[in-house]
Amino acid sequence: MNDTHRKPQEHKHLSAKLDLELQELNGRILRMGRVVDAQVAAAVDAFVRRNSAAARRVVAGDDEVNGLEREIDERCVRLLALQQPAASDLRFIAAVLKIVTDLERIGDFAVSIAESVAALDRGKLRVEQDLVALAEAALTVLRNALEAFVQRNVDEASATTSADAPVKAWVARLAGELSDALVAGTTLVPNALAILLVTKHLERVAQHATNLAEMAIYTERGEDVRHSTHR
Amino acid sequence: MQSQVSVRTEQLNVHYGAFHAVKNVNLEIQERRLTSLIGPSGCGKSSLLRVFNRMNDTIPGCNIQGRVEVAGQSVYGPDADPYALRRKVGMVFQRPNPFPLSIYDNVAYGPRIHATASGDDLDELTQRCLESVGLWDEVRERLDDSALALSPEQMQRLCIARALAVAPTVLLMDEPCSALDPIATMRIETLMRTLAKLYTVIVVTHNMQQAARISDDTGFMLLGELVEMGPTANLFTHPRDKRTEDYVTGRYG
Repeated sequence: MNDTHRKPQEHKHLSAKLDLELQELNGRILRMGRVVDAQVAAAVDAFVRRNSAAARRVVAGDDEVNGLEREIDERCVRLLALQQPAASDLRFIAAVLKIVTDLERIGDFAVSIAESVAALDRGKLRVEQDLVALAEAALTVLRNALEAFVQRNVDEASATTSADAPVKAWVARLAGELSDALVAGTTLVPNALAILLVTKHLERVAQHATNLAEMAIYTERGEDVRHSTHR
Repeated sequence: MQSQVSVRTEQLNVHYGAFHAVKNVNLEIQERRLTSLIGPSGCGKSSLLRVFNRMNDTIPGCNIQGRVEVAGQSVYGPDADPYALRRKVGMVFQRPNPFPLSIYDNVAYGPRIHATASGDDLDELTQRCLESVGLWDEVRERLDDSALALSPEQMQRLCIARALAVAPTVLLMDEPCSALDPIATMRIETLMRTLAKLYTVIVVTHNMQQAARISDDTGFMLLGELVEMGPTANLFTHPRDKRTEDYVTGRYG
């Protein structure tokens, strides 16, 4: 899939410029989603490897995320002002304005995770391997939701809105293991707290990712499915 | 307050000779709401509008079938009186078309014809109508001047005042702003919103943003069919029909 891929509409706009600008906007959201995905993955990797240099790169990488946020917001406002979009085009732009905030927040979680690397003790806990699995589960939700949004795939989006069960399971398991390790005195409290915070950050990543899936449904169908699932 | 149906059609069909201009239109327009009809050229929206006060009567080959009611009374029934109907249903056109008479006589024309006012009553009525379209202060000192000396916006206001003078319940407007500049358009739109508090206003417009800005309800017509009609916000944010979606987003239909 290339970066400007978008589900082909049955009909093109009479305005080729509007078609192009909407396609570009879709491509920028895809780009931003992939950047924050890589940021979270790199942050968790730096965390479990205690790699301070890699962690600093994640922190520096947030500039691109913030730049994309500003650029996408500006594109949306320009489209609203100049093209007076309606119906599904309008819903798409409204959705992008909201999604950008979710993605930017996911980027911030990557930074928080990376920043916690410096304070870590070198001693590793067995649960940290579960952190990698949790990160993978959370990023799977993000990837599926992002794909559903840029492709306007309602089926995929519907499946994704309630697909954070593996994430919740990993979070519960990590909390239990951390609790056991603290009781048994096999870990230092600061390390355990850092891991617990990373766990919560990754849980929030998945929650923000499901917002993308909800916005995919809104864009395609005009239905607001927020707060209607069994979350 | 329960809203009443002001204009209703059932299985309405309009033919011009062999051309089927309006196809099986069933609609209900509530009183004291502003309803816009949108759609591409030739979709039948003006033909539909003109049915409501029998403007098609004199067009050779025009054939109207189905039921049309204004305020519960049949428009085309055997007892229907086109003159009485047109008093109830005023019309404003695209090009401001004041009579080549004085400003005063334009407004007074209808009441004189229908003998509904004269003398001081007529002066008062004329002033009230000019006030309600926001023209009184601009023309009060020159009521005897020719209406043709007014600006296009003032002429359009005068035409609306002329329509109001016979106390209609329904105001039909066919592209009322398309000959006006954007500022004049905004001012007429504001006037239309005000009028919709007192009258049932039905507007045909090519300007989708205008329909979105001013109307309570919007109907989309295509190839003679009323494809979809409903609250304006719904039609422009999540239309039900794919054809409406394509039209309001500017796609090939």
